[in-house]
Amino acid sequence: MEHGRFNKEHIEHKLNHDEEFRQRFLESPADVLRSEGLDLSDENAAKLQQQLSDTRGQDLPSGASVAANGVMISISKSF
Amino acid sequence: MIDDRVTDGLRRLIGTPELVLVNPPFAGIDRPSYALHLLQAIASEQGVASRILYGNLLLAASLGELEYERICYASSGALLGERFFAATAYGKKPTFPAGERTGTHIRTSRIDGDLEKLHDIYEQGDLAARWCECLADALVQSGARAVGITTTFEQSAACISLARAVKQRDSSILVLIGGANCEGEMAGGLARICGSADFIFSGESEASFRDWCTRFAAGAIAPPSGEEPVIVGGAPCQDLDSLPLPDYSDFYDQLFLLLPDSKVLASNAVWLPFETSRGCWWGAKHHCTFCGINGEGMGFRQKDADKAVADLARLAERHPTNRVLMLDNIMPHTYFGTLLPKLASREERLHIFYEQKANLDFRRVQYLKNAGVEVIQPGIEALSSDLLRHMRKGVKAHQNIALLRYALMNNVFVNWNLLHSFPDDHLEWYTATRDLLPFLFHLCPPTGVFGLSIDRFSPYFDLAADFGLSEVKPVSSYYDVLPEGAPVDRIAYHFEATYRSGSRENPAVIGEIEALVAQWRRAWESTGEVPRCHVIQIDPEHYLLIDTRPVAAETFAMLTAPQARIGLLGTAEGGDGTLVDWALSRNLCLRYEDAILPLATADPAVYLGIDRRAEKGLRAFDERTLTDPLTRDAVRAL
Repeated sequence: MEHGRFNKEHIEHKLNHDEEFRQRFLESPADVLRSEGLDLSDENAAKLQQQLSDTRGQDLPSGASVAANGVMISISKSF
Repeated sequence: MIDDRVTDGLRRLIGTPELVLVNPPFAGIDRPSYALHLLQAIASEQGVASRILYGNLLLAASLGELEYERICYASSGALLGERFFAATAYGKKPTFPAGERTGTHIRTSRIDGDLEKLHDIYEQGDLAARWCECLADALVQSGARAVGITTTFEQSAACISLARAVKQRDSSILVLIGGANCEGEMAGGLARICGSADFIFSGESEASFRDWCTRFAAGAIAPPSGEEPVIVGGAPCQDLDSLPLPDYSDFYDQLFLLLPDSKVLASNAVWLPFETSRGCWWGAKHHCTFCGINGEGMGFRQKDADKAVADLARLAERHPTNRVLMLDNIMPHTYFGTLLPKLASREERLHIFYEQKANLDFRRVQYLKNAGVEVIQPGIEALSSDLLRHMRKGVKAHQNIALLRYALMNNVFVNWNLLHSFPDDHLEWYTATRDLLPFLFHLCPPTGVFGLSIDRFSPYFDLAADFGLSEVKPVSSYYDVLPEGAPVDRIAYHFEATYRSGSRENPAVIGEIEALVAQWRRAWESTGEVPRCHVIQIDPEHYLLIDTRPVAAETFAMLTAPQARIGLLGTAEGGDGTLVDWALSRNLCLRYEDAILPLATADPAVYLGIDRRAEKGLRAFDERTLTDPLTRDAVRAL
């Protein structure tokens, strides 16, 4: 549920232009959103924190084993 | 370095077998040879004691792991590995290829910028000869009565060097050669330049090698009387379940001896090769125009899923890693209902590489992930539906892009690349791809951008005239490497030809694509966070978009549920056109090939929560796929 003073445009603006606000948000998003007037349940707060920490992306393996036409060099099946 | 300690250690490890099978340079050092260990197990069943000798590890120990890999993973068309052994094999020293790109040579990221260092290694000279002497001495001193050497890609010059050195020391030792470089007509070509060999096994050779071992054990094998080796023809194995399970102990013993400080060991990066199928079920119906990897064994054959799971479990128990490299050219599609759920329900998790067809939906990617398949190679090749149709890939660009999104959402790494310079291709296919790439920087980047290689056994090779190709000839590197008078056209695997190609005639566009891919990879290789276009659910009504792509309108945006939906699904409930326009203006969606492509990613639960139709579809998919109620319950419990 949303309190009357929760303003998503305001939060969006601060996230994009206020470095200190952005850092606070990334560290504890639920606290910041609640302080901005959003009635966030504990369950949704936990899910939000989890999603933020899960968005680091993948590691790129160093180098790749490719041969012609990008075929990954593999082992012959015949002797 | 190859010194007495190393050679003594090798001799102790080899012991006194009747047969030694050798894996020469330049095979990768992060994996054992499946083929050789399979043959070792077959030999054992016939009462022939054998050991595998990892000549590639010995050279890597001498050359240095990094330098070895630079040669091993260099451009295929440059034949750096063959050049390294050309003097010992054929008595000629080819020049080191000059410049960054010659002819149709294909490059990989590992080689970039290192050509000068490699040049110095080549100039040092006699390392190849010392490798050969050390190995031949060890083989002869082992007392083995037969030596088998495998050759695939760039192992032929090392193989021929070693065959000759063994025969020079003891002409009574039988020398066998086999591998993918002996497939079909190539066996005859190799026979012409390898008079030191006695037998060349051509094609899938489990049955013919088994017969040979039976006769060898009975003392009934005599060296051939002619000057050239005897070609032993194989046949595609029709019962993969009958094949024994390899034991990779010889590989580990030699890795610990020869490369004890290897980064492969330090990072536990050894892959255990395994196969669940041979051939290609897609290629048997629609052979991709450029693909030559199946040789004469296109017909699809697969293992029983229960047998495969049991073998995988034994393999992982036996060796100190859970990384499994599936050698299949394409995973059997029935495994979504059999092998994958069984792997998912195992307590010990594997980390699996598996080649796929690219038309996977979200649920299938989840099945892969749950089973431990964390690296896939789906053969994406292009992001233009016209070019994909031209290749006969059987997928469209939107499916390739969707797969990249589904894989990222499920944390599955995608090994893929972009190809160009196809016969009769159109430049606009590539300009569209070029314009598309900056929108995709949040997805797993391609390995690189590669020009077409016309490979033996591919439709472009076998039916060249039908595709408008003329003057088909081996790439020039073969002439640099092979001896005078060698039947180069029978030995070669990579060819070039004359043909019309919109992309080949306009290299500037390909250069722009290469530059974008390099930028994309740099963004992922940097120590900072990779680009993202990710939707996070705050509560059922509020979502947060984090967009750090170069095309992002702004980094953060608070979204409504309908806005999140269109970013993730590309559709608006009720067909709300203003929402579509909004998503296009934010680059959350893209109009591409007359469709609206959603580009954002999200946590799988968030994605499925938004896509109600997908949720219903999942249940239907599970019902169709998991016919066994116990397996279905196990999957649902995940």
